[in-house]
Amino acid sequence: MRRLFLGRTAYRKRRLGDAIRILPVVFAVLAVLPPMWLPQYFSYARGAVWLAASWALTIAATAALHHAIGRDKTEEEDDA
Amino acid sequence: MTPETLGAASIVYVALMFLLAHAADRAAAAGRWRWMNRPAIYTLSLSVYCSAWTFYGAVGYASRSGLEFLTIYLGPGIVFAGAWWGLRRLIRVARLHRVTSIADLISSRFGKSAALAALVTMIAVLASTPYIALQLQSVSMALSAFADQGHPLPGNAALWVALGLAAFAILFGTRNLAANERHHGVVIAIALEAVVKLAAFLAVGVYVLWGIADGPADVLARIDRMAVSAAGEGWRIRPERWFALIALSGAAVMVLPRMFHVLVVEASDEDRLRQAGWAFPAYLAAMSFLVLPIAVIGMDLLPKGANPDLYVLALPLSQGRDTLAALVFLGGFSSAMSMVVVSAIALSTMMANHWLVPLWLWLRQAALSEPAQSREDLGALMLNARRLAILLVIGAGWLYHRTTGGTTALAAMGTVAFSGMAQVLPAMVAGLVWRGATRRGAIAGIVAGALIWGWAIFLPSLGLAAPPAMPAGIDAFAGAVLLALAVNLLLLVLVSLTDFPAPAARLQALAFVHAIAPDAAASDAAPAIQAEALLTLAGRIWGNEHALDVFRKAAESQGKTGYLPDLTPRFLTDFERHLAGTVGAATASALMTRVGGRGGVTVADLMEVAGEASRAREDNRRLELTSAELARTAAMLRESNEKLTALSAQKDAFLGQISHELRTPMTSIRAFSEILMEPELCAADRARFAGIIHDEAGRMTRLLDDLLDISVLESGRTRLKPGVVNLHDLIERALAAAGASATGRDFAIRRNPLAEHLPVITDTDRLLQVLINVIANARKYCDAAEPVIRIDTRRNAQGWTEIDIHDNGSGIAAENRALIFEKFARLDDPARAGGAGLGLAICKEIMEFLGGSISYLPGQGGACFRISLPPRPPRRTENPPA
Repeated sequence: MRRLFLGRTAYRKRRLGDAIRILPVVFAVLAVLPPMWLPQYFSYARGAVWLAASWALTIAATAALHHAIGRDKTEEEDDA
Repeated sequence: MTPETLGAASIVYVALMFLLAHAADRAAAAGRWRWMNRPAIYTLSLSVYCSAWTFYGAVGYASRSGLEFLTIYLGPGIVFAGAWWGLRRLIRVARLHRVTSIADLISSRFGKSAALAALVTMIAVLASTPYIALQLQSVSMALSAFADQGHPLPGNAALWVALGLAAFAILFGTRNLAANERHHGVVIAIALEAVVKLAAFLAVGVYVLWGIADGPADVLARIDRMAVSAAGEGWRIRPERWFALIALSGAAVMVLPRMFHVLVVEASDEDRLRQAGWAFPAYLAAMSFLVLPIAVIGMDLLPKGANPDLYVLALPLSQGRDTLAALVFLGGFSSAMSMVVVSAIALSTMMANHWLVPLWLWLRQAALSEPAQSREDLGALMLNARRLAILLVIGAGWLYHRTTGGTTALAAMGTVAFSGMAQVLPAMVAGLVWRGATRRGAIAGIVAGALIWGWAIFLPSLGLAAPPAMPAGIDAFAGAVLLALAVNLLLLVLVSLTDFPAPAARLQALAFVHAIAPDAAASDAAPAIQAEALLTLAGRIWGNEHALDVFRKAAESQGKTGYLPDLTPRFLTDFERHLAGTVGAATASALMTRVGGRGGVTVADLMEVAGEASRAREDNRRLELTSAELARTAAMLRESNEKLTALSAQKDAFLGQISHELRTPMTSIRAFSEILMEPELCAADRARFAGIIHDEAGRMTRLLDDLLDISVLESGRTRLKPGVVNLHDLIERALAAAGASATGRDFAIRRNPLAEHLPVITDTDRLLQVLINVIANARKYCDAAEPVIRIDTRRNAQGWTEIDIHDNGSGIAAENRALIFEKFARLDDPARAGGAGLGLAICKEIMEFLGGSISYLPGQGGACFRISLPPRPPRRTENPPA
C-alpha cells in the first residue's frame, strides 16, 4: 500500500523520481521540436551548438539524478 | 600500409579477442566473474549500437544530409534519459520471465504464443540482413581505401570476414546451453572493442579538429560558410524525416535483436542502469559530435569524387598519417565485428528457439519424458540448431551484400533495418503498459506494419520494387515509416479492444503489466505429471549435472532430501520459467504440456487468483510464512515417519532373517560334527564333512564381520588411513574383484579410461570396498536382457571427485529409494540377494566416514549411484578419537 503522506526523506525521493520522469520529455522536446519548427535556423552551426548543449545538459542532469536516487529506492516507505 | 598488412593485423586482432573471450569464459565457469559484472562493462557492451554504420556511415551521412545523422543518436539519448523508469521496467519484467530475446518477450507476454514468436523472428531476420551486409561492406570498402591503383583488392574479402565472424560467434555464442542466455566471453570482448573504437574515433576526431582545422569555432564557421553553397542545400533539415528518424532510432535501441540482447538479456540486474543511463549517452554524444568536423573538413579538403563514407580513413591517409589510419581501420573493424557477432548470437537464439525447435517437436511426436535408452541429447540438438542459424544469418548478410553490389550508401542500409524492427515496438510497449493488449491485436499490428515496410522500404532497397509515391513534399522513407507505424498501432488497439483473450494470456498480461510473478493458477495441473519425467526432460536439455542441481535445490526448499521435489504449483511455475530461460516461453510451455499433459488455465482459475489477491495483504503474508514453515516441517516429519515405519517393519523381518541366517549354518555344523564323531567313517567322507563345516563357519564369520564393520563405522572408533591412488587403477581392481563373484552373465562395461586418470586422496581400501559393493550390486540386480554397466568419473568445480555407476536395468522403484541405504533393507526376495542387506548401509557409513557421500540418482534410465569424494579426507582423521 502506498501511504498518503510521507516524511521529508521519502517525500524528497518521490520528487526525485518525478524529476527523472520529466527529464526524457524535456530532452525530447528540446531535440525534436526546434529543428522541426524552424529548420532554417537549426540546420547548420547554430543547430549543432543547440543540440550539443541540450544533450550535454541532459546527460549531466541524468547523472546527477541517478546519483541522488541511490541504490534501490523501491521500499522507501518510512514516514519518520 | 597495404590491405594485406591490415588483413593480417585484423587476424591478429581477432585472435586476441578469441583469447580474451576464452579467458573470460573460463573465469566465469570457475565462478570468478564478479569483475566482469561491473556496470562499466555493461555500459561499454551497449556501445554495440555503434556499428560500422556509425564509424564510416555517419560521416558519409553527415556530409550528404547534414545534422540529420544526429537523429540516429538523439533517439537513444532520449530513451536513456528515461532509463530509470522505462528501461528499468523492461529489464525487470524480462528478468522475471527469463526472457531470451525480443521475440520471446513478445510471445511470452501474449500468452506464450509460438506463432507470434516465429513472426517476430522472421521480421528480425529480414531486417537484420541489410544491417549485417552493411558491416561486411564497410570492412571490404575500408580495405580498398588502402589499396593502390595498381593493386586490386584480393577477391572475396567480405566472404572471408563473414566466415571469420561466424566462427567467432559459433565458438563463443554456442558453447553451452545455459539456463540464462548470458555470454561472459562475448560481453568482455565487445566491451574491449567498445574501448578500441572509441579510442580510434577520438584519435581521428581530435586530430582533424585541432590538427587540420583550428578547433570547434573554425568547424562551425565552415559549416555556416557551406550553408550558402550548393552542398548546403542537402543539409536543410526536413521536419518529417527528423521526427521519423528520431522515433526509429529510439525504438531501435530497444528492439534491435543485438541491442535487446546486450541491454536486457545480458543485464544481471537493473541497478546498472543508474550508470548506463548517463554513461551510454555520453559515449554516443562523444562519437557523434566528432563526426561533424570529419565530415566538414573532408568535404573541404578531399577531391569531389571521394566516397564520403570513407572520409574517416581518407583524411589521415591524405595527410600521410598511416598509423592513425591503421588505428581507425581497426576501430571500424571492431565495430563491425561486435555488431555481427552479437546480432548473429541473438538472431540464432531466436531462430533456434522459435523456428527450428518447434518444428522438430512437431515432427517428432515421441513422448519426451521417456527415460530414453538411446538418450537423445536435446541440448546438443539445440546448440547445433543455433550454429546452423548463425551460418544462415551471416550468409544471408553476405548474399544481400552481393545482390546490392556493395554500392548503396551505408546509412540507407541501416535505416532499412531500423524501420523493419521498429514494427515490433508498438506491441512491446503496449504489452508492458496496457493489460488490454491481446495476442490477436499484436499479430494484426505487426503483420500489417511489416507488410507495409516490406512493400515500401525493404523491397525497394533491394531494387525489386519502386518506392511508393507519397503526396508532394513528403519524403518517401519518412512517409512509409510513419504510415507503417500508424497502421500497426491502430490495428493493435482496435483488434485488442474488440477481443476477449484466453485465460493463460490474461495471466501473462497481469504478470507483465504489474511486474509480478503469480504462481500458476494452473492448479488443475494434470496429476499425470511426474517429477521424474520433468527431471529427465531437464537433463536432456541442460545436461544431467545442472538438472540434478536445480531439482535438489527445489527439494531442499520444500524441506525434502533427494532429487525429487513435490510438484507444487510454485515449483511447476518456477520450473517452466527456468526452462523458458533456455528455450523460450512458448517452447517451454509446449514441452511442459507434452511431458505432463498439463492442463490449460480456465477462467475459473483466473477468478480464484483475483480472489486471493484481494485478501488483506498483511494477514496473508504472515499466514503464508507460517504455513510455509509448517509445510516444510510437515514434509520433513512425513518423510522421517515413513522411513521409521518402514524401518521398524524391516527390522522385525530382519531379526527373523538374521536368526535364520545364523541358525542355518549352525544347524548343519551341528549335524555334520555329530556325524564326524562316528568312528567308522571313511577318510574321504570325513574330509568332505569337515569341508562343509568349514564353509558354513566361513559364512557365519562373513555375516558377523559385516555386522561388526557397520557397528565400528557407526561408533566412529575406526581409523582412516589416507593414501593417494589413481582412480583408474582402483576401478580396475574393483571390477576384477566384483567380477570374481560373477553370476555367470556377460556384462558390457562402458568406461571412459581417459577421464578416470584422476589422483584421489582417501582411504583406498575403504573406497575400494564401496566400489566393489556397488558394482557387485549392479551385476546382481540388473535385469536387462543385455546388461550394461556404465562408469563415469569426473572432478567438479569444487574439486570433488564424482563416480557415477549406472546400469540399464529397471532401477529402484521410487517408494524404495529412501530405504536402500538403511541397515537391514533388502528389496526383493532374500534368496536371490544372498546377503543380509547390509552392503549399501556399509557403503553409506564408509562414504560419510571418508567425508563424502553416496546417493541414488533418479531419472537416469536404470539404477545409478553417485559416489562423491571430497578433495581431501576430513580433518578428524589426523587425530582419531582414542
